[in-house]
Amino acid sequence: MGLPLIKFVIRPSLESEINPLRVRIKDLKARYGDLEVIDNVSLSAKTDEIVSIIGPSGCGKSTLLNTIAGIQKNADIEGEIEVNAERVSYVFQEDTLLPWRTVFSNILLPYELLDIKPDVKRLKELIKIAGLKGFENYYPSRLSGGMRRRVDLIRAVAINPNLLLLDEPFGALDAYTRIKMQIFLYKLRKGFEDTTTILVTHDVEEALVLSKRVIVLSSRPARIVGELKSDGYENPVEARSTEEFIEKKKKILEMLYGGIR
Amino acid sequence: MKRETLIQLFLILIFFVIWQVLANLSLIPSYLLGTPTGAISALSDYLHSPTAYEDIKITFFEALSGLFIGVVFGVSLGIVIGSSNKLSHIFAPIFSSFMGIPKVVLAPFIILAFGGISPTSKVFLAFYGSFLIIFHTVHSGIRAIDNKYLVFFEGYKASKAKILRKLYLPYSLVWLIQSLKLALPMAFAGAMVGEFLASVKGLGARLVYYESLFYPDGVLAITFLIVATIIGSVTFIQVVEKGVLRWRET
Repeated sequence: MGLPLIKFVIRPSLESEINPLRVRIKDLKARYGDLEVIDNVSLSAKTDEIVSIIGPSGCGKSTLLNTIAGIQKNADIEGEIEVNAERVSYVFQEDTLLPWRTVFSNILLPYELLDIKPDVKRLKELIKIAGLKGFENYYPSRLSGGMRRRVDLIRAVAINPNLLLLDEPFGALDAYTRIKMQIFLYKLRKGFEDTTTILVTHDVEEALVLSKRVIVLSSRPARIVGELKSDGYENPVEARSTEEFIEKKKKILEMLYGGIR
Repeated sequence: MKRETLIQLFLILIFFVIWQVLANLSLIPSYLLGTPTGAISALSDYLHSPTAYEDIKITFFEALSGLFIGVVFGVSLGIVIGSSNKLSHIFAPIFSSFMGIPKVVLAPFIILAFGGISPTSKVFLAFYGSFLIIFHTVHSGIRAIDNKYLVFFEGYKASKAKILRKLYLPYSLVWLIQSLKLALPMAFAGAMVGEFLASVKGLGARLVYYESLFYPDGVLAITFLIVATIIGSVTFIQVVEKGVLRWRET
C-alpha cells in the first residue's frame, strides 16, 4: 500500500489559455491491492479535442476515467495528473437520473450542485435537439432507454463542461439505438467548442466515428499500445462502409489483438 | 365501488348479523361477549359524553407526538448511520436486536422510568414503538442506495449538505412513507399499552375501565373506535403515498 505519490492539480479554465492542455497524465500507475490495473500510462488532451480510449473489458479504462474525474477512492495511484477544468461532467453506462425529478428538473441538477444559474433558453434548445420537447414534465420511469440516455447526455453538456467524460455511454443500448445516439452525440458536440471529451468504449467503430484521436490500451494492466488519428465522421452510417474507415478499423483491431496476444 | 369490496363488506356484515342473531337467541352469552347493536348504542352514548373528546384527544396526542419524535429520530439516525459503513456496522445490530424484544415487555420499565401515570410515558412508548420500524426501514433504504448516484454527486463536487438535501432526504421519503404504514399503528399500540398499564385518561384507559366494570358492549365500542382510527390513518397514508410518490408510476 503505502502513501499514494500523486500530484493532483485542478486549475480554473483560464489556465488553458497559457497551457492548451486540458488533461495531462504522466506515468500513471494504479493498483487495487495486489492487482495492477494501470501500468505507466501517459496521455494528454487539448482543449476542444475528442479523444477515445479503447481497450479490452476490465483493462482499467474506468479506473483511468475515475482518476481524471478525481473520484477514484479505492485504488492506490501513482503519477502526475493535471486537469485544467473548472466544470467536469461524467456520464456513466447506466443513467443517473433521479427518479423523483422530472426530465427538466433532472437537467437542472448539475446547475444546483455547481451553484450556477441555468440558461433556460439554451436548455430548451437542447431539449428540442434531443427530441424531448413535450416530455419536460415526465418522470424518468415513463421514458424509454434511449430517451433517458438523451436526457442524461444533455444534462451533462448543458452546463458547458470544460471536460466531458463518457464511460461506455451507449454500452447498454441495442445496436440500432446505439448508432442513433452516436449521431445525436456528434450533433450535440458541434455546439461545444470549449469542451474536451474523453470517451471510453470497447466499440472500435464508435471510437472512430466520434473522435479525432483513438488511444488503444492493452489488456490489464493497461498500457498504451498505439494511437491513431481519426477525423470524426458527419454521417456515422455512411462512414462505416468507406475504405478509409475500414482500413483504420483494421489497424486498431491489430493493435488490440497484438496487445492481448 | 369495486365488486370485491362490496363482497368483503357483505361478508363482514353477515358476521355481525350472525353474532347478533345468536346473541338474541341466547346461544352465546351476551353478558360476556356483548352484541353489535349493544356496542353501537354504547358507542353513541360514549361519543355524546364529555369524556370522549378528552380521551380521544389525549390518545391522539400521545400517539402522534410519539410518532413525530420517532420520525425525526428515525429518519435522521437512519440517514446518518446508513450513509456510513463504520457507523452501520456498530449501531445497526444494536437497533436490530431491540426490534426482537416485544415492546410490551419493556412497557412497565418505561412507565416507571418516564413519568408514570402522566402522558409522558405513553409518548415515550409510542416513540419507541414507531422509531425502531422507521429507523430500520430508512436505514436499509439508504444502505441500498445505488452507488452510481453518489459518484454522480461527487463528480460535481457536491457538498455533504447538498448530497443530504438533494439525494438522501428525497430518497428516504420513499422509505419513510413505507415505514409509516407499520409505525403509525405501532405508535397507537404503544400509547394504548401505556394507558392500559397506568393512566386515568385516554382510549386505552377507558377500555380497561369498561373491562373492569364487566361491560362488554362498552369494550367493543372502544375497540371499534380504535380499529377505525388506525384503519383511517393508514388509509390517509396510502392517499399521501399516491400523491407524493407519483414518479413511480410507469
